[in-house]
Amino acid sequence: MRVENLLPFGAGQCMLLQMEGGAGRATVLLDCGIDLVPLCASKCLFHPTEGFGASVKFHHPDFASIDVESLDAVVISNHLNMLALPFLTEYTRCTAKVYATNAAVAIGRLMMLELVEYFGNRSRPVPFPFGLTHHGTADAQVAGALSYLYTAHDVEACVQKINGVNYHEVTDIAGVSLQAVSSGTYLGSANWIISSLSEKFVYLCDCCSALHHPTALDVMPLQKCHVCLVASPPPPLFSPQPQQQPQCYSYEQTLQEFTAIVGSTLRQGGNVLVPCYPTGVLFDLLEQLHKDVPLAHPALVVSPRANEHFAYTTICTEWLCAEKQALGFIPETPFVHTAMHACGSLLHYPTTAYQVFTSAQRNAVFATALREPCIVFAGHPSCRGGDVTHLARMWGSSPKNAVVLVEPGFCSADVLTPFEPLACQVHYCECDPRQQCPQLGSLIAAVRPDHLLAPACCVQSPSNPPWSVLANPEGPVTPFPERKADGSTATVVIPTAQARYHNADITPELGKALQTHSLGGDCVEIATASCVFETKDNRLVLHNPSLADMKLLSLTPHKHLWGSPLLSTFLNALLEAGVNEIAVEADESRRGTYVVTLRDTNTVVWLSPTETRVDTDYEEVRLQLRDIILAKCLRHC
Amino acid sequence: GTGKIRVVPLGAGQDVGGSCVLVCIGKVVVMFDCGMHMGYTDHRRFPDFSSIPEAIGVAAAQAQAHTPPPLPPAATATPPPEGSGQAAATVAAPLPAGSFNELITCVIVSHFHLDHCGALPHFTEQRGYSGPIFMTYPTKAVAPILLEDYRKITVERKGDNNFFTQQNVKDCMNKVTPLNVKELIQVTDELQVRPWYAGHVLGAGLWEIRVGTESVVYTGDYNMTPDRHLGPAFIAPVRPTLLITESTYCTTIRDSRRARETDLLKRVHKCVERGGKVLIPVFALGRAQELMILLDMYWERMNLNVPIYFSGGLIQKANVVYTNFINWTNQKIKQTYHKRNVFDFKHIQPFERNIAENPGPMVLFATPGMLHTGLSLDVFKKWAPGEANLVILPGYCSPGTMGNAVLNGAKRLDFEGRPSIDVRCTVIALSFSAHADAKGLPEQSWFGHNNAASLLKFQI
Repeated sequence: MRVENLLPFGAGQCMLLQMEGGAGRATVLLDCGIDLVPLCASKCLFHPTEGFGASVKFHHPDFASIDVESLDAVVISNHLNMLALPFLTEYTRCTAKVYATNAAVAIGRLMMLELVEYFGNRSRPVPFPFGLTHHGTADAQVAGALSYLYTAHDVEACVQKINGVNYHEVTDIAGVSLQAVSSGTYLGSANWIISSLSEKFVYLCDCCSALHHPTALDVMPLQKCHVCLVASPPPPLFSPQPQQQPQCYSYEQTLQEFTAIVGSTLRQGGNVLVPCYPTGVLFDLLEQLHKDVPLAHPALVVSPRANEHFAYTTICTEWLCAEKQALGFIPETPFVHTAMHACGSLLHYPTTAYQVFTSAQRNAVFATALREPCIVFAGHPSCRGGDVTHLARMWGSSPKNAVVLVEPGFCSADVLTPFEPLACQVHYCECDPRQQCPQLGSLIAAVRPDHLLAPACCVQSPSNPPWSVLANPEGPVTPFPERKADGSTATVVIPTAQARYHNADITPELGKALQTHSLGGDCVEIATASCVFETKDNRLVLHNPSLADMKLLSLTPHKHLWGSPLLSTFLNALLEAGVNEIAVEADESRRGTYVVTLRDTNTVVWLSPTETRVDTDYEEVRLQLRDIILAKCLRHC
Repeated sequence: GTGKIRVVPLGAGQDVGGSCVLVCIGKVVVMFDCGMHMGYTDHRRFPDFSSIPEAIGVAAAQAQAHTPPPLPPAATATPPPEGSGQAAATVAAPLPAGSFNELITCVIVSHFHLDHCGALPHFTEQRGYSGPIFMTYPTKAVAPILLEDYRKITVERKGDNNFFTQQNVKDCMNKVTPLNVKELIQVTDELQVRPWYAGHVLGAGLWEIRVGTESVVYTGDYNMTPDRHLGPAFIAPVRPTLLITESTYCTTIRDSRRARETDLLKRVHKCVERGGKVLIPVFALGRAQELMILLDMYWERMNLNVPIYFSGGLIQKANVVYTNFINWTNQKIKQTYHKRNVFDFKHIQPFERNIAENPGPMVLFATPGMLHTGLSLDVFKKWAPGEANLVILPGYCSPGTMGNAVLNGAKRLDFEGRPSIDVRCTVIALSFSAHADAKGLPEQSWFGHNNAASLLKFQI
């Protein structure tokens, strides 16, 4: 099994998995995210309504570095990790099937269309009014590729190619089966289980153990896996003082902290601007706000797709937590914000539609809705495009007002640099529902993988502080290297047991001709057949031989060995034969393989389920061992 | 393999009554549907659960040999509420509570119609079954509404106290695990369950179960033709060992959908034009929504202002359910919901009882569909003598119901202790039903939901 990282950690996921599946090797792309971090490094703003051609490039996985035509499937864990998908489906020769949960497809589509409206072809960089210039990221500095954004047409074409699935739905492709189970973070967010007949691989991505609006984290199906991959380092812990040991914070605490900031700002007559996405964390913020802060004026959500995002929350009962689902069954509307919207305390607008930065020309509809002091949620959370840029400028000059940065990944001082100097208050209140290291650690302890793959920064080493280290109580931990700009590979190969069995389909013609014989015992029956294997899409098909095949088959022996040598049977047989000086050890590099050393004759035997190798200087010893194995350890049919 | 598959119908069999079919594969026993027979008011309305041990016979004996003896009834089990002295108790000795859990691996309800889920609260709350129950999400939302509606009519209006209670319905539904389409659930080490899309009504499922190498697909009711709000039934080629399918309409091939729709609209329009009243008895959820979408659009197109009413407080509830679970409707409705929610009707308003006395034309959707009780029967009694009026019975009517009598041409209806009623209005039966017809049915399978004569057609 081989895993390659295609993007830096913490920046949107994209990994390439190759594993033995069926009769061949299955290649699966795990997620297809855009790295938005370089966007924040840029000091340029993009105007949503004006513009002649794009000038911002987005950092996505370098599909030229992999063989996209050999991809069998692409699986998407959540809507944030599919933003680079149109680059793959519309601009490469990739014909792989793409799988994502139905909710992730619905939300992801809106997110991509919104990204296009903010940063797409229609926009051009607006000269920054405070004299700053565009410091775009140079192409050479990123690990991956840079491209101008896709178009809305690309998005719709791409979405048509995605196969929507539900949780626990099993899809067979290229000899492996794919199954999404809830990761508990967003509507439709998923951990993927990819299993072949002999191996089970679990891809953990952005899990959340806090109970909030989506379906809770589903742990049971992840258990008993061979390899578990942690896709990204968990969000850092919270340090109250630089000298103190960092602590876990609870998601609920951060939500309460948020409403406390909002409450005190509004009470003092200030406005609150919250740069965020129109989905996900926003729904939790609104719920907490409704609970904690009496709003004098309606709260506003500004996003080109807010209407559709909110409409979606009324029809996604299947993807909600048990508490909200129960409301859906009554039947009532599961989200508080639906009621807030119905009674006018929450409004949403596609845009503030400011043509220039003066309040005189603000959109009339929006202007009537905007009654200060109030709270406005607006995108894009990077503050590089969208209405948030105008609102930040409008309110940034008054010390009464506050900007509260909440969206994970967009909660640093960088985000607001284009607007400096800012007179308003700035609060960093990252509301990240994702598991932190200790919580992720207990998830891994519950999953008990044979082998854990984790980002290098989460694996025990002198440079990593102890509270950021993931342990695996059941087996080894392999560090996963970061994808770097210098082009160094970020690949891990995990030795895995050779498959002992394969599933094969038998054609009806062949099936009719088979005569079965009981082997004794319960349900085991065997049949001999002269037939030919054919491989297609990693699936084996057994069919009747053609005349040409018959000729070849006549050359093979008629007696067949059956079974595999058990270590205990072999050792007993050796003792019976009078061999006493025996040492046994397990082969480190291959699961299920044992090295048996016969000290008397300086002979070494490698015993594995699929082959037995004898290494000796004495031919008579080799023959003796061969006879023992044939007679005692295997069966003839 | 695991050997034989045994199929034992506890209801249905040869009658559109309560569906309840046991399927035994080795030690696994699955109950498909737990329906109520609307034609009866005595113990026969529920499947004969007491016969389960005998019915599953060999399989049960094996099961008991491998499981500990039935536990005594759990201390927390609530006694049957006052007034509902177990209907079946007088007929057969009830089994100790909890023993059904030993006999039955799980219960699967195919869709929310009462002839498929109506006996479930009785089975869980009064007969003590507390094992796994599976339904789709919309079924879990709609079934309790219909159960409660029917309970009210039976207990509060007809004074029949021999029935489950409101609390029984709630407790029963809390035991249900909702599933999404294609969600694969490992119920026990041996048994896998997976629902597929059946059309028919919102949330109707085709159910696949798998035990070892054996598998069974139970269709419940399904529909291969997309309608105004649902898509066509869909299942992957899962190649089951056994297919159990409905066959209500296996002896007829219906006219094209468009022809049927046009026919309905023309008749309704003609009637209201002449000042008549149109009564359309329907089940509260399901076909009603499709007919309402149809009439709402027609009224819009023809610019009509004759009022259309829908009975009961169920309409608002129904609309919220249909909105909450719009992912189970067809592609077009799903994609346009944020612009225009089709379940937000422009021309259809809630009905109030005195409106039935109003002069002038009107259209009324009223429950229940088979005219056996409730508002549809009350209004029918008032409107049936009027020659200008029209009654459209869109569904199948069980023998023993008023709807069945009227469909069979009864011109004079007698009611115990009340003056009889002359039927002078026009009565038509449109085969406007969400069942597969002979074209839509598969060739070889085990049929439920039909009468003996038409079943023979398939046996030839």
